[in-house]
Amino acid sequence: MADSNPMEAFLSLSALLTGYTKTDLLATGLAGQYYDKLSSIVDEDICGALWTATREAMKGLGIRPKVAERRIRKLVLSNAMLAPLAINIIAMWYLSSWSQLPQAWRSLYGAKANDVDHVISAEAYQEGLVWQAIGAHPQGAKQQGYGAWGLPPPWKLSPPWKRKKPRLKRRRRAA
Amino acid sequence: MPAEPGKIPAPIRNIRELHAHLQTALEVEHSTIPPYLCALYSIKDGLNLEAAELIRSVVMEEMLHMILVANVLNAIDGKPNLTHAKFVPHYPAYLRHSNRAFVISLEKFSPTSVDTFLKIERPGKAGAPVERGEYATLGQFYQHIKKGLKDVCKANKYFNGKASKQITSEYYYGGGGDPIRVSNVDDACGALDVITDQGEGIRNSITDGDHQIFHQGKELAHYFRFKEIALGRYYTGKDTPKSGPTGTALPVDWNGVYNMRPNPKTGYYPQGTDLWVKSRQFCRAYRDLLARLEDGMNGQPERLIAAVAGMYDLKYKAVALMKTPCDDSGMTAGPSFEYVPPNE
Repeated sequence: MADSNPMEAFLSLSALLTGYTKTDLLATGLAGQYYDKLSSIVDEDICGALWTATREAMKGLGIRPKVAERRIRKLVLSNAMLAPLAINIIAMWYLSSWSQLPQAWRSLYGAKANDVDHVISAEAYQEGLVWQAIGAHPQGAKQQGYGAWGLPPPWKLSPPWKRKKPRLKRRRRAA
Repeated sequence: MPAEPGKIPAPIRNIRELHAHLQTALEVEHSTIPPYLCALYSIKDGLNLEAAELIRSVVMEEMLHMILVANVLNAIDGKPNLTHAKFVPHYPAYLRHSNRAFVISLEKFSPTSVDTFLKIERPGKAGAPVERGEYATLGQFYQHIKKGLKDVCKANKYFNGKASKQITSEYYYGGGGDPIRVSNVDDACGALDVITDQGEGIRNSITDGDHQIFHQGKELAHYFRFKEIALGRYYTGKDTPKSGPTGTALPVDWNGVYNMRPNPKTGYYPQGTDLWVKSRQFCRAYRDLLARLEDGMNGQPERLIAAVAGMYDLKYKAVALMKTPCDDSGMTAGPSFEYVPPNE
């Protein structure tokens, strides 16, 4: 449950958007950097609306993630002002970079000088969730040791949905 | 245990006791690694580069020591065991050979942890015999084993281990010196000498003797590398243990460190919570790493390649824990290095 702390709301929203747990996200050590990045580019009242929507979605003790997810789809992802921010939050966690907000959004809600495409930091590059998700390592960092390329990928590092067996659709038999 | 408190360590009388002592040596060498790793991994990326490099170099040599002990044990047809339930100590713990003068903990890089490292690597007085009671230093412990080797394995008796179980530089790379192939008493004593020389240094000197054995540049013994960190100053080639370091300053930032709660335990977190799971995952990864090392030391040296990949992964898992707050105290979680049964 998100309390009145905006950082907590940011973490709850990030967990819902990325599919990783809050602990996974904290373990990257980057929650602060991403939160600050968002706050430096997006006006306080718009951020405030995002946190309010998140708290609304997380309302209720012991709420099931599926319910929260459905509410986020409605309150954030279907909201023209908030959806681009959610997309950027996902991009920050996975791809370690900020993407310029859509032109339409910028003309409606204001364009800050630092709202340009950029990698957040060297540290963020190394901790991008994309590497965990695909069971790889960031090129040029977090080396795996000689011969590691010959070993099976560490699938256990991947998010839960990767571990499920894909459901195969039954082919209809030709009549 | 070769020496219980209050008892004089009895001479090693037979091959079985020799095997047991070498197995203990393996455990003693290993037991210093988790504390060193905790200090090393707690240093934030890009900070304390000099201190981190010194600790890293010591860890590399501790790993070499494990390999050297395993080669000696294998040479006399022993069976290195890294997976039994008590192989990893339950920290905070006493060094297994020791006179219980101090406790070693899993702690972040701090003046306290460096002080403990100095105690671990403390040199014995030149030629000091095993003291009444227990071994005060690692050097005394190895002296005892060497005497046992010479007594029990006269004329290279018992040196009938498979040569294929010897780990050579083909599978051990990356630093700390080269593994020594052991096939007789002299090789065995030479291998054990490397261990004590690297740790405590050669008599009345701050260097470790590697320049004589491995033809490397002069290196400081572990004790003096930690001394450099503790005193914030490098030794020069002319310095002696008495003179202390007189070289350039070694900058240390005790704050550039993750604030890891000392001696972390998985049990600190409610079972099934994310942090509990992550902590347990680390322990499982460590168990698997030890299992690969054990395979590597028991006739499957190619398993060491996978073990090295496991070591890198272990670091990333440990650092991830150290970045995660464990409660509201401002402290973070950390790697607990606890035993996990093989079937979990």
